[in-house]
Amino acid sequence: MHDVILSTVSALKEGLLSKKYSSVELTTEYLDRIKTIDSSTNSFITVCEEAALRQAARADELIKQGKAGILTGIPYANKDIFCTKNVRTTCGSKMLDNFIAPYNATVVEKCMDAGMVMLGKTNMDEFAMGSSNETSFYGRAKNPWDLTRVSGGSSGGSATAVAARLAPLATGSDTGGSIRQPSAFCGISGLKPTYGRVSRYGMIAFGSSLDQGGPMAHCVEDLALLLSVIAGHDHRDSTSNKRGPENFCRHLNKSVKNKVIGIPKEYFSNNLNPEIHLIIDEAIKHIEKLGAKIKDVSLPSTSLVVPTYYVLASAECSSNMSRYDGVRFGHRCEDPNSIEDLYERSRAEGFGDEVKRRILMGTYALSSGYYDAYYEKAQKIRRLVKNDYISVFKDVDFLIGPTCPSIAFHAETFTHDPVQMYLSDVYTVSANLAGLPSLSLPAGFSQGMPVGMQITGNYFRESELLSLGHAYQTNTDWHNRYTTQKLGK
Amino acid sequence: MSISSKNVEEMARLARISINSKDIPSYSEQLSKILNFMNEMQSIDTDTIEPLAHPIEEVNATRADVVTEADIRQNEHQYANHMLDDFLYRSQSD
Amino acid sequence: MLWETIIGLEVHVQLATKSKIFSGASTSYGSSANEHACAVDLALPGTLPVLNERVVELAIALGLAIDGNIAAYSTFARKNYFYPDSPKGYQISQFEDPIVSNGRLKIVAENDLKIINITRAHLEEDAGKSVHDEYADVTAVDFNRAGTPLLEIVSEPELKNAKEAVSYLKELYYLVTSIGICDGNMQEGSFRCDANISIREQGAEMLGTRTEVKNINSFKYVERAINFEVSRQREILEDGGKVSQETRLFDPEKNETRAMRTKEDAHDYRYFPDPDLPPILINEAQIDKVRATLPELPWDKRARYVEEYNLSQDEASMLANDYSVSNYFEKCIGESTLSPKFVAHWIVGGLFSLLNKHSTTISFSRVSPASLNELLAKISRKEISANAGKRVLGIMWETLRDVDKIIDEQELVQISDDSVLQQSVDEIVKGFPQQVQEYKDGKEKILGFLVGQVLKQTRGKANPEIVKTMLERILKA
Repeated sequence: MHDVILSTVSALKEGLLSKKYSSVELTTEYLDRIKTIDSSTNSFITVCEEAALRQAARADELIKQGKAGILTGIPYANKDIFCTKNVRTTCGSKMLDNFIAPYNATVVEKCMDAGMVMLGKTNMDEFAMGSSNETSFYGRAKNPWDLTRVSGGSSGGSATAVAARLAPLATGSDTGGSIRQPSAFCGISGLKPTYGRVSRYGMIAFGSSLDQGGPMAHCVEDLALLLSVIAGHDHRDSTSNKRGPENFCRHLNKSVKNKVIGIPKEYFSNNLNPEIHLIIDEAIKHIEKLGAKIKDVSLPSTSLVVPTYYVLASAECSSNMSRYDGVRFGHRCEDPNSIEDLYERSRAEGFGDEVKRRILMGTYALSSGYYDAYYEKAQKIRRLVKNDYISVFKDVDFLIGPTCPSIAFHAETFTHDPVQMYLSDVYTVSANLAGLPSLSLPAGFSQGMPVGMQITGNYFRESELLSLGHAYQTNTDWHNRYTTQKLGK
Repeated sequence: MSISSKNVEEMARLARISINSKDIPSYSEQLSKILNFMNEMQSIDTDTIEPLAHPIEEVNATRADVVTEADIRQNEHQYANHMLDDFLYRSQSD
Repeated sequence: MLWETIIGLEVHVQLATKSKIFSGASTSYGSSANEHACAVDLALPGTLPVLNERVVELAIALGLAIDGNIAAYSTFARKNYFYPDSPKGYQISQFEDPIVSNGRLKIVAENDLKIINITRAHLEEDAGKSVHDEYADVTAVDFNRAGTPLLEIVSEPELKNAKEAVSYLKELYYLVTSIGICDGNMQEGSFRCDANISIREQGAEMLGTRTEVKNINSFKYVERAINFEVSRQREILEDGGKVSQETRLFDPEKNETRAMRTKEDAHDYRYFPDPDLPPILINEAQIDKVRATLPELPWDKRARYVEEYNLSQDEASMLANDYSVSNYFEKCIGESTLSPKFVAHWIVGGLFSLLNKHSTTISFSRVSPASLNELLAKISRKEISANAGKRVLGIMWETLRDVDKIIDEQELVQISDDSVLQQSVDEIVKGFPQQVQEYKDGKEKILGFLVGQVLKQTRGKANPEIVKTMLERILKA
């Protein structure tokens, strides 16, 4: 069955429809792999063996009756940020270690309705705050290419699971790069859709105006399949765009001839690691050979995007985290002697250091006397960032650059230097600030570790973005590689 | 610009997170570094710029005035730790 | 030392919708704990707010009624603070772009009309309820009320004393109930008032330190609370002390205000635009739609009652202010040819006494407009006397029986037959010679006594006007 786990989702679908194997058999294969391998990768926080097999059996029934949809019977994993009914939803935090969600996130509901099989909930940075999965209460997810290195974050578990072939597909969430960066670090493909494309209902909030759920998989075609299932207007999310569900696979094979690719000069400064510079240059040349035109552009606000992002994200998070007070659910301290004690100790015990830091900074940025200089200032720069993109997209269709300034770093590199960790988000945060769709694809290797290329498109142009990515992947095979590390016992 | 111990205590109070007094200096140090980093924003003039609150400018998301939610009190997330009899949530007296 | 008082009022009006402002849970009152607290109301992880379109309509209605400015662009903000009854740790409210601003309300102050300006009215969500006395050592929380829509109406600090404050509150109350945006049930917390009170020397330019007395839910208590607070502040200042800026609660049993036990200084609410809620855009067409369905405003109704029906100001107020009373009244006059002034007299004089006696309101009247009309028709045609009518009304209330049946049984048909009346009149003149002499000596008022004796003898059935005429003829002869 080894071939199976190296297949794309399209091939798996083929296999199910042609009865080469059943969904139950396929699911069992993945569950067994998780049992064997995940002790070394730590991708899953919760594995749902029984429920998965039940879902698989139901899917097999549907397939038998000829009622299969585009992803019926396909196993997948959900980042533990998505509420799953009757299943533990921890968000990577001690605060929610015992929280059993009483409802499904809209993303989860859609996957269920599509007949997909949920293998379990994946590891993540606590409350999505982090770029390495090291802030998780459940230990870090480990990069399958080198277990001493980080998976990236915050969707580290999903990236690792897909890279280690423990699940063919996974959902992730992206606030400042949390789908794209771990995808780049782990050598898989990941998409952050346009803000409002995918419902945030049931996706535990971190930075509400920045958060967006999205697909993670090996190849662009698989991303398109999952996006087709999870995207679409949701009346339960007021920020959800009115556009309905779309078939994102329809135009995958569209030609990229005469498409204009912008290369922001600020992304290729002298500080960029030369090996990564080279890899991205190669990738761009490749795309040029496919018929696209290359143009130099400028995004002048680039130097300010990281502090701007961190002010806004911390401010929003400081407010979003206030509901975790020990009263109605979640961690509650023992023997509180007053209401203030109940709050202060439950929160001190339930939250990890990074979350606390961001809550404190966010509180500061919003507080009386500082609001103008921090929160409002950041909102103004956000306007400038958006204006930069609007201006640039008058002349180009896409923007390409590296996803990250480095390969996956070793664990504990930034434990004592949060600011350095933040700086590694320099290429990804702008798309969250502006709300644009952005894709990360494997583009090569440096020192044996994957390097990702980021492609950003205009608002709601996921179809075009995916067809460019698909064209690139049709002519390269970085996305088909598999680690040589021995995983498991 | 830096974040003093007093600032840390004030923010911790506002955010209802208890911090050990022995940890305050390290919080002060780390948060000061982060603040300095955030201060890079001041290098640009934004006086004439309108703040942007939402990335995509949606408007008017509303729902009809209809009751759609049923009683959820029997659900699994209600732990004995959080609820009293009669489905009241257990808070703490002053 | 002469002092002047400055009062500003913030009124929280619960809007009469079926579901909550940001969730689809029911707003109905009095259910068992947490029955109507859905995932959104409990602030479970991942939940999001969605605005109820009806609250926008109701806010527009209020804005039109107070002649205010309806915002073309309105936004929501988060007001951050921790309290057990506030599940998210922030309240969704409005800060920079309230839905209504710059309105006004006319009130009667010292027999003169005074305009009180209304700074703004904004939408927000109500909190849950803390239950302190049910369990020892523990505060329990019921989130049924969490998410109920509120419209907070803020007046300029232009009220000068407790009477003006109550006048303003009552007028506002009549308004919000008449236009149907609030059910007016103060016992259930539908209309709550916070009073900001300060005093300063007359002629001084600077405002004094103000205190806030929160959550007063009766007009009587508002008056008492303000009076107490003004005295308290005056005593402090006259003693040379300083008034502390604080939040206080009114204790109706002790008739005093007390500082709330909050440990910290003034709240820093850290308002910022709520990222989960896009702005509301309101256009002229929407406003016109609400305007077209706006019911008659209480002051217009009062004026109309005085103009059209020739009622006194007092009668007009009593009938127009409470919309359930005016509905009843208008139903009566709409379904009969009775004179409105006559009907008004009987509602205010007759029906209201019954309502008071039985401690109930007109919505629960055991005499319907149709039944009252029947009775009034008979009185108007002089089939029974006014006195008899009052008795019948009381019996109608007790027994719910037909007017005709009651009149028959009680033999209340008015005697208008002259010969029968004459006989009774003659007997009374003979029987009370002293009073007859007093009348002849100039004490004209004694006539009433003699009429009363005739009525007594005829068990209320004599037509008093005819009796009076007969007596006068005899006595003046």
